[in-house]
Amino acid sequence: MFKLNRGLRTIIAFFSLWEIASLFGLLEVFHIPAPHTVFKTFFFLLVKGIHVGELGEVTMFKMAKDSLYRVCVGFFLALAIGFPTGFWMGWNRTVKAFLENMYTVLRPLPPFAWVPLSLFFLGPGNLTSIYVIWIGAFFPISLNTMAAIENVEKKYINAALTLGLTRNQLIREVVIPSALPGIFTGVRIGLGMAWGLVVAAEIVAVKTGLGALIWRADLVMRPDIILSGIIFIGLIAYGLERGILHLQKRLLKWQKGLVI
Amino acid sequence: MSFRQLLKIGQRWIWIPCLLILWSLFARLVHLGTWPFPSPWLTFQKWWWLFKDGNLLKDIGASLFHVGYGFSISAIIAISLGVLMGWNKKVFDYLNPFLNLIRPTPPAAWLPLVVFVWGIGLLPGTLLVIYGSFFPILLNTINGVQNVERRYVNAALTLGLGKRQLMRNIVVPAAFPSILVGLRMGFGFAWMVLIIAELIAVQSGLGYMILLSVTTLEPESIIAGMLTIGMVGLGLDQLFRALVNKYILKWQKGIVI
Amino acid sequence: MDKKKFFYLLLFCSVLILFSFPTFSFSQLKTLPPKPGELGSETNPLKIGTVHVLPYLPSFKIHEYLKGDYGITLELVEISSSTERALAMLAGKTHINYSGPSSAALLRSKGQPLVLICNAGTLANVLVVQTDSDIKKPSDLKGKKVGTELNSIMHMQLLGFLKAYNLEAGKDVEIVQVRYPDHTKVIEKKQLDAVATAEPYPSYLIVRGFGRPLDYLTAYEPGWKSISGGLNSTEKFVKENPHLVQAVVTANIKVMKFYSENTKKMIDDSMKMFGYSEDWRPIIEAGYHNTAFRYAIEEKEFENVGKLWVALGKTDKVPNPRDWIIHDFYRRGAAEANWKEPEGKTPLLLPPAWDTSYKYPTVK
Repeated sequence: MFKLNRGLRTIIAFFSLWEIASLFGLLEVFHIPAPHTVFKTFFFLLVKGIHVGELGEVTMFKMAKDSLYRVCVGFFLALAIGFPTGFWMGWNRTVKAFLENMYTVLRPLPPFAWVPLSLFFLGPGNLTSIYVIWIGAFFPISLNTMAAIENVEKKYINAALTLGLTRNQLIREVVIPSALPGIFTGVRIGLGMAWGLVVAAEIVAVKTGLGALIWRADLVMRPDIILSGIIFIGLIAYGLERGILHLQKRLLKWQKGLVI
Repeated sequence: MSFRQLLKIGQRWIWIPCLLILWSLFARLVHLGTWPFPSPWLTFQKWWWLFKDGNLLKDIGASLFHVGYGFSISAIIAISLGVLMGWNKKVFDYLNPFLNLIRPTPPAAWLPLVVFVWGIGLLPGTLLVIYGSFFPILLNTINGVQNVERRYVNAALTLGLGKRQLMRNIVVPAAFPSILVGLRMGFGFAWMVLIIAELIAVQSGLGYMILLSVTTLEPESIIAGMLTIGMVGLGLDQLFRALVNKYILKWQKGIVI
Repeated sequence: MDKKKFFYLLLFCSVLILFSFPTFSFSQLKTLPPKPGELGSETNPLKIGTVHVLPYLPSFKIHEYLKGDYGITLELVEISSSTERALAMLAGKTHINYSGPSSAALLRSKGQPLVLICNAGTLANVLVVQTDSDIKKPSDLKGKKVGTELNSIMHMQLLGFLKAYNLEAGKDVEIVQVRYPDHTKVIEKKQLDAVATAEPYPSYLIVRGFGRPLDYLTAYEPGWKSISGGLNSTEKFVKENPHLVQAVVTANIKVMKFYSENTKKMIDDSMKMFGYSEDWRPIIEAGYHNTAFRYAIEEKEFENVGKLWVALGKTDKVPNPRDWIIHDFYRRGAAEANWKEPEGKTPLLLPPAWDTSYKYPTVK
């Protein structure tokens, strides 16, 4: 008998207990489906999908694609606006003083709180979801960028200026690279927020998407579809996390000894 | 006050009138069909009316109760588990991969399932808050415990401290800053998830108030509710920081969260 | 030029003049199928707002008739909140909308230019109590907790129901907000005494044995019939595109006619389009016993809803039916589809489900 990894043992034990409990009918009153049902539904959804209005059958792959589209647009918008804003706030004291208090007031506002208002005025469809995702990712990205730029060691800047670098060169060659780890932290958190908002952002006004899939499944009382959706969301979240860590490692290769 | 000082102070607060002006302009230009975007004046009127009636305070209180209830339960479980997992490698190896399976899933996704299992009421309403704040607290606690300096532990063991004393007097206090960072982050997440949680199971609270304002077509209430949520969230965060920095971390000079 | 050529030229000119005059607005020969780029074509589809719930089944079938009979391409915009759906239409994001009378009446009373054009006659809403509860007649509801989705048509109907039985909402009966998909769970888990809900959930609760129907939420007052959804649009759209509106209304009526004559196909389509698992078939079948396919709009019903909103204090005037209810479209559509809607106060396809002569299937 080969020695199983400890963590694997827990996972197997959990799924076995779940399967046994459902076989004995203990979980029916809670509407929790058996693991094999969830598995079957998961692959069925991937290959055949569910019926969506006039579009016919939509597979879970397509739904994931739609959700990813919204998250990417929202996330890159957050990067495009958040990174320069954070940079200017970190670089220029006046700008920081000007914007900082607005940040402090708007930041604790949960992204989901924007859903009713943006639905009212941006209407149904992708726009509302993208807006909610943007707002969720914007604050971590800009605040972490600001902190990273602020914390660039003064001695590097002084050394560079002594060596006669122009301002642009200074920013490009010294400031941004040394702020990069902090910026990446913000980007990672922002991406986590962006993908994490996919379910909340798709609650009301979109037809396809992983979040929409979960809400539709709730209407027809199919918890197996809900669990399949959750699994797929988790898988993509894991993939995104790995991807950004990989990117970070490659871009920061030159910082030896840096542990994330 | 000199003009310079005035300017400095003005710099910090000039965004308020700017925002109000932009908002008023926005309200004049943006329509939904023939429905105007609520102007700042209408919104504040509505806010004041809600406040006067006592409804707003009731909702704030309810939301605070929900988040406090969920957060405390989550903190107790997460800190206990975190200390155990941070200290004991065996437990860590057993539980960590399983927890890593669950961690990437967003809390909102679990909302329908929570109702399937528990229905409506206080527990399902706060379960989401518990889930949302659990992982930041847990991870930061594990991190804090794992990074307790070895020499403290060795010194204590040399001095003959028992395991329990070791935990109580050395490990947990040394890990405290990390735990507090986790608690602060966890509370932020809890507040974020609160609105989604209030969709399902509760009959009071700020999220509930916003939900009702949508169906009765009162966008001023929506914005008023949003502002309140933001302000309360901010207030709690600042309170947390101030309390911690003043009372708890006084003995660890130089550590400020 | 010789006489023949002159004659043909005169004929050609007169035909040209005749067709250049603005034609009779309801003529479908001139404007349908839409040309490329026009509203209703593939690149510029007609947008109809709806929601993915069983009572709005017709909205998921009309695209077949619109494409087949009129060449109109349809895009369904799904918004789960009925208020948001109506607001999206008023903002121009959709052209026609399926939504309930509660949001329509509220918006109209606030001065929005919304008009009703047809009923999407659907399933009746039911007040379901727990199977073993001691609530045997409506007055037993005193002191009990009833769940529903606040500010929806189910809520409005519940308020009217309580009023008719001299129960005061809030004082005698506590009304609790429960999201629509969660209505079944609160009864299953015995967390509330009753729930005012819409199909397929009442049938689910009754067929699976968790609940017992107390009454239809609609059948108590003369003239207050079962409506849970209708087609509406904006004044502007109706004025500018009457041909498209007529096409949609006629298609809607044709779908209702088809389903009322082919109940098996209706059940099959419901199962497929909404994704119910196969063990829900008896539930859907039982649910359709509560169906009333109706297109005619009863003005008094909408006036009643308006009055309820005023009583709730959310608005201060009741919109005059004459201002915002258009009967022409559905009358023409019914004539075209050659279908007369069933008669009666609460016309149902089959006797009410708790009629002693009808036995609900006891499937667990």
